[in-house]
Amino acid sequence: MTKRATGIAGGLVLMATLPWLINVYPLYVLTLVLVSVISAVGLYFVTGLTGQVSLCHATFSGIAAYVVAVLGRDLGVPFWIGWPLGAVAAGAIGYLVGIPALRLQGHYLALATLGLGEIVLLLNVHWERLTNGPNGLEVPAPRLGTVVLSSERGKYLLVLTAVVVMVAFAANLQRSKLGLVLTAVMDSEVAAQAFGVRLARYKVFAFALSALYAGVAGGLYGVVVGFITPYEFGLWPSLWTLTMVVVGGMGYLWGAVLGAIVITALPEVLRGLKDYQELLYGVLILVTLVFKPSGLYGLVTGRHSTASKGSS
Amino acid sequence: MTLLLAQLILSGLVLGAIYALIALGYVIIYKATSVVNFAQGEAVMVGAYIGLSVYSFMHLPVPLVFAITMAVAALLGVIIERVAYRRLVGAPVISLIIATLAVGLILRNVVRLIFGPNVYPFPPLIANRPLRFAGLVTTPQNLLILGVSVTCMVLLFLYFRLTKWGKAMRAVSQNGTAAVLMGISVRKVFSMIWALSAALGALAGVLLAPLLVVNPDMGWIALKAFVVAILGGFQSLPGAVLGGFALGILENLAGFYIGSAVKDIVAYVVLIAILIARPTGLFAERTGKRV
Repeated sequence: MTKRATGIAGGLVLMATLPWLINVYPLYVLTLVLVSVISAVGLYFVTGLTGQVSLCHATFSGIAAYVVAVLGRDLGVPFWIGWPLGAVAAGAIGYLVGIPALRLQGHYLALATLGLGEIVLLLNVHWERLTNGPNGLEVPAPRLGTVVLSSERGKYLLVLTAVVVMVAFAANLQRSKLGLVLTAVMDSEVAAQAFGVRLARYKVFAFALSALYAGVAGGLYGVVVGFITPYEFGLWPSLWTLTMVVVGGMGYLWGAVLGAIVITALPEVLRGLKDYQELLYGVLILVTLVFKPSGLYGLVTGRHSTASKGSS
Repeated sequence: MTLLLAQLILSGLVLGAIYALIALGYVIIYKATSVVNFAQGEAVMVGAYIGLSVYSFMHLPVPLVFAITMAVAALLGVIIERVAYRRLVGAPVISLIIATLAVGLILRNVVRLIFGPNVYPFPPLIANRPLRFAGLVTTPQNLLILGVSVTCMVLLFLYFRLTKWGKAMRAVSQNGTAAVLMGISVRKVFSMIWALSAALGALAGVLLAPLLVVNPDMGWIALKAFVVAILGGFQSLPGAVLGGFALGILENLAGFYIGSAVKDIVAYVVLIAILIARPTGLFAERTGKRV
């Protein structure tokens, strides 16, 4: 246990000193990777834990990113207030969508989220007075006292802090009573129900929590990239997040983390194969589903089967 | 006023017929396998490209274009089922759904690599001059689209009612285990269902192509057919057909009376409303609750 604690502490110190060790561009990519980790961990609550498909995860990120940008532009609201507001707004909308969809069996959540995603995208594109339409919005760098977090280093450290908090919260949630209930729901809805779990309530909660995570990631994404457009939060980005959870290993928190790292960093590795990139993504997902349903997480832990598992 | 309304409804029927064809593809897959096939839009897109190849590049006559397109798409459906979905039988349904997403992604990119990302115009299927009838205006092409779609739907119903394989498919949809016990090869049935659904999608693609243009992303239209399938309860073939026509007309009316920007949003608003108010669909067959 203490060994593990030292390991974690060492890793964190390394992560925190990285900005002074690597160049600006790799640091920027790494920052985006960390943002997608938050988003994927959020989707893990829905897809990994309760076994539902959400197709508007990026929409929730978009809602938060636009809340930050619009409140900042029109009312001068600082990032530190706009960010949590945006995340809570995303979570609240997730809650409202989850109530009708999750009371039903099967794929209704997938369909409802698909509809929500398209509606928000179209509103975003057409409501130009508020969102500036397809031209996008600038997101100013947040201020911390008198310091403006405009450097890549500053943004990286901000995102790293958020990742540590969000992942730690998720890991602890797994071990809490709530986490156990959610896992039970994934293993067998019928059995969980027989033990008195109110399925719909927990599923809606998991979905709202996932939307909140997406919102946290969305607020950060806007700051890191500095500019947002509606299509960055459309159906395809949502599908990428789903890909992260699946390729990483459905049902494993650390699988979602691994998946987010690999899928976000892959385009940089495959830079020379730009035309084939999406094709490779597709093949990668299929191959994972068919040959390694436990995903990257299964691959990694399968090799070191004696290593202590992070969870479960 | 009534004339205008009738005109709007008539134009709505054309796109509605195409929605209905795509939605039928969703419904037959879902009834048999419980899978929501997210690659159905890509079947439409691939159909349009096959049609483009045999019609625009090889100049074959129109009936042959329909036949070849549907046959090639059906073959493709069988191959994809063989390579991907069959290996996932027994996996959680969510894995299959994600597999269809992956298949769609692969198809779209293979087409993009072969034909390039550019947009191809699709030549009209039939000489395009306006036809006037009792004050209404339409084109021979629109009538052709409506006629082919409706014929195809009728044939599909007869196929399910009268033929041996059609009955086998219905048996598998109703109760897979019982069907196996009766000696029906579920593998063959699944294979044929994926083929049938791909052929329906491809036909919709060829019919749609002259109204739009052909490009690798044209499968987005299948998202609307989703709404159609849900409108019909996702389990019902007549529901999908009625839902298709209903959405086609509704979009046209909303586009005219409210504004063209609303036209695209209508479908999704209907979707959310249906999911909240009547998730079994407007035309749901009377069935017990599925658990």
